[in-house]
Amino acid sequence: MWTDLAWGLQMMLVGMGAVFALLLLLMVVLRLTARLDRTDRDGEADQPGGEPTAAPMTVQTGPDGSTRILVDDTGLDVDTVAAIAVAVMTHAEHRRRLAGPEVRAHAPGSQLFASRWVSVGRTQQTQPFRKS
Amino acid sequence: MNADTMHYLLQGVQNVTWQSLTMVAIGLLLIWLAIVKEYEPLLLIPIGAGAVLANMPLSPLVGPEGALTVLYNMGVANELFPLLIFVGIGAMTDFGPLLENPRMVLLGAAGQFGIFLTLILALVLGFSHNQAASIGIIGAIDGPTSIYVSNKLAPELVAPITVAAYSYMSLVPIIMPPIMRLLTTRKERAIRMPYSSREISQRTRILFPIIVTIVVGTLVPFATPLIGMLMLGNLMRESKVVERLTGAASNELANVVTLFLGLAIGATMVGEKFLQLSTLFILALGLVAFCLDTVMGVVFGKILNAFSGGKFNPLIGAAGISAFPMAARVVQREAQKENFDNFILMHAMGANAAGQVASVVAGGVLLALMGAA
Repeated sequence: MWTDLAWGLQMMLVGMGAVFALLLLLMVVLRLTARLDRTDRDGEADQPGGEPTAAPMTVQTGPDGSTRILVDDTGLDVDTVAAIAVAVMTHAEHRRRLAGPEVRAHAPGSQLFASRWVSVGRTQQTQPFRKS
Repeated sequence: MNADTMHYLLQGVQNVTWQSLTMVAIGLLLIWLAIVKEYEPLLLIPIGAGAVLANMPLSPLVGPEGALTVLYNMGVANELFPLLIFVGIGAMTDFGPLLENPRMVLLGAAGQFGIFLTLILALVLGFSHNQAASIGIIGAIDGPTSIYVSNKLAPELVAPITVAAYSYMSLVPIIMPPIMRLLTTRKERAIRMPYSSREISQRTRILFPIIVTIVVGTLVPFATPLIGMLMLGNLMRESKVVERLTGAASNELANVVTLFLGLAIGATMVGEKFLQLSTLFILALGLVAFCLDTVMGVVFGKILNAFSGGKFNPLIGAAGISAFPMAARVVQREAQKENFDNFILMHAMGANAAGQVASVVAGGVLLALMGAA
């Protein structure tokens, strides 16, 4: 029996040592990957054209004396650009939901899940043994 | 009508044994637990049904060419079903919280202590080395891993180990909280941890399954089938280019294989083999394994708390097991009991996702140590 116990203890030491070592290595690799990815993205943002720059704005005065702020020479004013931006974002969000219903409902850090109502729902969900 | 005719008509009744009656009762108990108590119904209904069908007198289903025998040979004997289930699990799991906070990986490692402590207890109770290692793997709190490892090391114990693993997994919300409360103070449970989310690019999410497979597969080849299938499912999910395959893996494939696996495992619960003292020991040791995982997770959480100067909520340590996402929810619920506004769910989810990977790694390490091919 003592031989078995010694074998078991040896298994635990070696086994847990191996598990910790492997996962530690995995943690380092994951951190490195995240860092490299961040550096790459920062580099892309630094490149010319990598980050959007504000277009020069001009002010146009109409025949009735009203003024429109144009963002570029295509004739788009600020309100139109804002409306297009909102439409594009809404469309992207809609496409994302259609494409991947199994992905998370909210972006990480959005704090949308922090609603009290959602919290109550989650708390109830953590009691699967209780019939609703 | 002669004596032979009567014999054929009554042979079912004549072959009823107390063992088969007991096993039918156990099968019905599992079905009752699944339906009334909703304990892992996806698994316990097929297992219960398999146990009932296999223990009918002279059941043709478990004969040499019986349907349940065919299912067993098709997917359990060669470990195919657990691996296919892992594809589905990978397709359903979001490793984002782990990628946001990679140090949570260590909590996943701490959650595997129960495996080796239970192995020692099993040795004390007189089990052989292979059997003790198979029983210990219940501490991974991961059904497919338990089936995979025990099938390689001690196939004769697959049925009780599977029943223990899945039954206790469904009892995580009942087993864990008392231990967590016992080992922590109110002040510790109320520790708030700021959640600073960081955007995880799709490139990182795609690289994660590839890197994990290569690193773990190279260092622990025994874990390659498990980690490879888990990460394949996750790669499909994160690539976002095979939505149909992702959907099929997480729904149709996972459901069909779960049904087949449950029936095949239930079919191994034949009275003469199952009703032994060793089964009772395995069920008891399984419970001990779950408790030890929680204890060691919380203790490791307390160690991190000490190192962080009291900023780490030790409850999160208990989430470093494979019961995903149930363990994280239980941790959140316990933290919220002390302070309703305390929200540590995302930290716990990180530890829980780490537990998913760690349990597979631990299974592979155990196989490597036992030298099982």
